[in-house]
Amino acid sequence: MALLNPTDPARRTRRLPTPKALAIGLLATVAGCAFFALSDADSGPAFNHKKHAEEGLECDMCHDTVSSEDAPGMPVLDACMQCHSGIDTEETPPEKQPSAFFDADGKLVNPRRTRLSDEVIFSHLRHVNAELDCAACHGDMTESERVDDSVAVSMADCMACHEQSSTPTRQVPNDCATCHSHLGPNGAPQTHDHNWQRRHGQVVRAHTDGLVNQCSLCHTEASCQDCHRDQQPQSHNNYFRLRGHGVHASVDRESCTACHRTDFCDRCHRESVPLSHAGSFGAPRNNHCLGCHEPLRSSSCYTCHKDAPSHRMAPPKPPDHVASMNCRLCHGVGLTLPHVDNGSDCNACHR
Amino acid sequence: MAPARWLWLLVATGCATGAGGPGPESTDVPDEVTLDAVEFPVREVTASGPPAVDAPAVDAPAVDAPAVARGGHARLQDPEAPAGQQPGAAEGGESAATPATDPESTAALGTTQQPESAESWFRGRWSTRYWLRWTDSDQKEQNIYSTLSADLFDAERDGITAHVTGRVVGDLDGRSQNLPAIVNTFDSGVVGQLFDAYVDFHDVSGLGVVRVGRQSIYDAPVVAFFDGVRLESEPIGSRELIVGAYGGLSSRIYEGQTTDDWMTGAYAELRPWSGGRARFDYLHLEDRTLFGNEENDLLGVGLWQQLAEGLQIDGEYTMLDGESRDVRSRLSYYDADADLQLQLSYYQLLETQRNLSLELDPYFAILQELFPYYQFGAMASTGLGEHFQVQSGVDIRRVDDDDDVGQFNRDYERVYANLTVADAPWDGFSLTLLGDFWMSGSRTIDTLGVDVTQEIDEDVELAAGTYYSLYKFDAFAVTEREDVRTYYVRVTHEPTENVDLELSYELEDTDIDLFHGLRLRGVWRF
Repeated sequence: MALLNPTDPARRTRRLPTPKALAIGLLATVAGCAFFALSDADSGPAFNHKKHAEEGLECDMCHDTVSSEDAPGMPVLDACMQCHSGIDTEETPPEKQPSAFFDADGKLVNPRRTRLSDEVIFSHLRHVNAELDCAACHGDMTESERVDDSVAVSMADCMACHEQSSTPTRQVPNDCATCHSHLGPNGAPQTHDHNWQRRHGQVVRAHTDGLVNQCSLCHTEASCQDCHRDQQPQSHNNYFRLRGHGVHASVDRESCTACHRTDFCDRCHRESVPLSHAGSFGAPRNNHCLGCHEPLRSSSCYTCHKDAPSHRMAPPKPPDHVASMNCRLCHGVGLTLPHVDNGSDCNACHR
Repeated sequence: MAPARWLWLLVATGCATGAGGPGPESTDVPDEVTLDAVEFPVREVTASGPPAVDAPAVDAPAVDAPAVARGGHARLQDPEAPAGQQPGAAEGGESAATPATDPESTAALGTTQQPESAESWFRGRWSTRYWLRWTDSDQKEQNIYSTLSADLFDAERDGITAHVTGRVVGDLDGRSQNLPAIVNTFDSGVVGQLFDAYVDFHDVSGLGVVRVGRQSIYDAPVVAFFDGVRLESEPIGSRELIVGAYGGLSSRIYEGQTTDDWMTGAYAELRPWSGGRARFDYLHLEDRTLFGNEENDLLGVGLWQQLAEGLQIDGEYTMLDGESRDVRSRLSYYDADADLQLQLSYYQLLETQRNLSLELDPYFAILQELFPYYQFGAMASTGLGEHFQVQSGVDIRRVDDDDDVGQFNRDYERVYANLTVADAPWDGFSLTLLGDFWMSGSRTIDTLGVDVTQEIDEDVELAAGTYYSLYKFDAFAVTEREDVRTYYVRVTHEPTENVDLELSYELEDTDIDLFHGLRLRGVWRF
């Protein structure tokens, strides 16, 4: 039957692009990500720390509040002009003048490489008071000719330093609340926004060793199980239980194995009668034959009827009947059939 | 959907993904994400201390400044100084959550002791769900599910801890068979199910894990769920070698009878080089199945390698009873700060899977053999500014041999996408659009959904939504086309920090019947 003919050209009609076109699309996806991610790395005018250090400037001469306040004390235009008003001339290129780095309101236009989320607690003062050098976190800026991402400090860096600075007699706190004002048993990370319940599975499967979003920081293994046992996929509605799951399983049984083992399915199938088993499905008309085909075991009937006699055990033909005979000249016309004639070759069963 | 539209969807997702990321005014994540390599460059610093400032001297220990490296630290010297002489100790320390603004503050990177764990000796989660369903054709079903998950004692303080997770399911209609539910298949109207019940011993020399009881192991190539013992060593040597073994009676929650099926396994895991991890597994299973006794031996090898921060490649190969079983590989990139995730995956089943032990069985009794196939997958997910998040993906499966394609072994393509708008156009409002399309020759499943959620106040949230599914499949050579429309409304309330309540109503309009569903759920975290 055409339904089960795997080589039927008609069923090979694809509604998706060819694999080649799909590969091009995927490459475009990855390329788009890489292009935009990398192209933003060095935007804006370049500030040359090295040149300023060579002039004898120390960090706190421009970042003047770093030793007295929590904030790092990003310079303001007026502070820059204290020197540059006597240095810059009309020939100084615009991109090298302090005004290039500030907007009309006097705020820095360069992206803040080290800017932290508002919920992160960090005090430069405390770290300065611990006599930590600026370079301990930001690297050797005396060699930096352009501010880039390397000045930023990652969560991993912070935690590593806190951990390694701890001694048996003096613990440097490294719990979430040390730096995060929002996190806690009832405060999820900001990454847990935006439809997190739907997409967290992908993040878990990414299984990176990075600290951020490392599930074990807040969750135990039991946490996952508790929630997954309590919450079913949205697709598992009443129709799904009655019929839809069979369609899904026939397409992709592997997706079911995420939660179910075969004992779960066997149990339900032993007890539940399919919706199709109504009307003349059974005797005397046995309409179920309409769905049968050879070999029997590839039919969905076998799902439940494992003990049913094989249709190969049909009564044999009388000795005077040969395979070349046209059975339907008699059977189904003059002689009634005990089952529906499904149009297949009678010789397949009556040998 | 026409092929060009799919291609457009993928490219648009790629562009959107690349253009995403927080804007300059975002307060959620840093403006610029540091894509650090795994191996942080060691910086030799000649700085001799903080710049001189007019700040009063503080009694802070000197810092070993020259030993600073990126990814390293500045160690606080004088570790031998009595605790009483340490800044902050005399004052009982300073709260880590309170930034110091006083230059005379005694806090120097926090010199206080970590507060003792305040965790209760008995903590966990209890959830209860009442579920009522009825149809326009006067069928009704009421079930109740109550799940308790609890942890006893504290690993930091106690040498022994315990965990238990169990569920009681009740058919309030007295084992009726009106509407399908697994609870209806048991002999009793009330069924208890024990998922986990184990004791951990923590102070065993040389062993990192000693666990006795009903437990699951998720790191093995297949989930091992058994009643028995698991032992695991502490990390050994510079490669952090861990070896472990486990064994016991296989847990069979749904078989409904006592079983002498059993399993045993062993594994070894190590980090052979920087950023790499390797794992070797062996699992022996014995199972008495419908078709006879099965004995299976599964070997697995897994490798993970971090190529750069957030970029990882991993793969796994398994052998079953001496034959290659399957192989899997995956390339993942995840940047939490930028809310960007990319993933490419490949899986291939190398041998036909027939009747096997339960843990390995491909639903053989129902779906017959699972023939070899290969599958490609790609997924991209990203945040777009503060308020938008988009995810899309493609899966393509092909059965190795066209002659194996049949009722339960199919080629398919799947495309899915969802878009979420959060806190826009006003705070507390979110909108999710989702689509999921399966195409497998004569069988297609299309699902489209919308979910709208609004926070009423800090503790109350109202959600409503709808999703539509179209099933097209062949049944006895006749193509069926069945529509399923579901509408729902849900209210959640958190009267206290530890209690969640949820009430939902669902209307499901199908070609079979019109279904109504009411759920009331309460969760108590203690």
